[in-house]
Amino acid sequence: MDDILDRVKRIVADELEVDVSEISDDSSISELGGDSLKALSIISALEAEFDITIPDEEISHINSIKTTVEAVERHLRG
Amino acid sequence: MPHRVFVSGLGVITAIGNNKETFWKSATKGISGIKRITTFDPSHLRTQIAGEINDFDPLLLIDKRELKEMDRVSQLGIFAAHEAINDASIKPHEDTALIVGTGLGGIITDDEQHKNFHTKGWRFVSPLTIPMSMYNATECYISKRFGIKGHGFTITTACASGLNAIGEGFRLIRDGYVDIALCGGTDATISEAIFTAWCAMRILSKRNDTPQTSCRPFSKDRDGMVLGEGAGFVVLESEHSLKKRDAKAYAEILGYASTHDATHLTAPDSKGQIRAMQKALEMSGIDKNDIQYINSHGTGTVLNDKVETETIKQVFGQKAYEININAIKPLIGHTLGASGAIAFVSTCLTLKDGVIPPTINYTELDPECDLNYTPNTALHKDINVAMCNAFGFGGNNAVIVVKKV
Repeated sequence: MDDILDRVKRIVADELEVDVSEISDDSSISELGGDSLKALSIISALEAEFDITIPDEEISHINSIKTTVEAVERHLRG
Repeated sequence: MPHRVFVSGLGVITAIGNNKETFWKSATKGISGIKRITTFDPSHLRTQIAGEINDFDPLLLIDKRELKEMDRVSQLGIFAAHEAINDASIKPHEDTALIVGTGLGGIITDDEQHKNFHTKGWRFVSPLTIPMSMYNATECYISKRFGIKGHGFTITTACASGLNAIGEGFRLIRDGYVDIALCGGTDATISEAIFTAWCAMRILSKRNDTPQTSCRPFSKDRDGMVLGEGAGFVVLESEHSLKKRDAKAYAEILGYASTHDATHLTAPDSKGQIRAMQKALEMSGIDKNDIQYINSHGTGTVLNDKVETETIKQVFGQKAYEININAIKPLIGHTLGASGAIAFVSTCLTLKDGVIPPTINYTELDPECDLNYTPNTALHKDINVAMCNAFGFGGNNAVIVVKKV
């Protein structure tokens, strides 16, 4: 879990050009300065990092660190 | 005193026809050219369909040696330009202007040469990569072929490029700089890496099993756009030039405007579109209530169609419900920098023939898109004044108002 959380935070930090220390478990993508295009970039990077496929229908729910980690875990299991 | 500007020649090449006759026949019958991609194996991708031009033989106009140094974007541009010049029966001269719009230029060449570099090594990169892929390559080939030596440039405003090119040509003639202008748009972007990038944006329809009914502008069940390739060109002429050679015109351009949203790289904004429509109407000098038909940008993405509908309502008020609107992208795909020019050619044919091609694949009313989109069946109606819209990524908006002659 922590490993996934750390990797998700690192990806979000890279894509949004923020320091990992600024990202908490509850941070939302928009609070960190992300928009729809940045969210797509984060999702693409997650797919490559974890070798998973996140369907279009889930994109709108992936709006915070928490929901992002949950989505990654779900797809790693499934 | 502004000069009057007429459209005297049309040329088009799309997935439903390699010339304006075949294009128009299919468009008015509502026949879609969207099929499974054949250029590469798309099996691993979310979207596997596009509006490819499959029965195109470039050797009909371009010799083998020249073809080897020409990206597909330029080949398509030459075919549409050739048809427009023949259709107008003009002989371009030293002062003829040439304005070309393209969204992505010779990107197929780019893609191929990057592949060579990464898989075979640096020795396998073609010395023609840069001249073939540069954005103004099509402009160069057209000027060389037809001896066009006047004012000219290439416009790249994403999906507004082609309509911007026609609008800028209109301004050159209107303001007295030139008598004749060849203007249009071209794009050919269906190659593996680039198509994969489109898929990554998640804005393409995933109806892979039913390509011809995949793109559904303004319908509630729309799930995205479909990519296409093609070109559209027009010959624009001053009244003086037209009269001098006793030639006929399809239509008269009354107004044009170009604006920026200044908001987002990809998401459209109604305010920028409203300003473009209002400015085009203002230049045209007509009452907005005179607009009977709008050839919309209508891509089939959830956001585009909702925002464009909102824009039309804001500009026309209650009258918006009486305007006949259509979208031709389900027929040919979204041809990007060519799309506005092809839509303009289609609009001119509507004015000439009194037929509006249907917005095919319309199945379900969306409360947020509740205007009259000419669903599924062509409409035979005499149209006097029309509007043509093209809105591009980057927030570029182009609008032209055009009148029957």
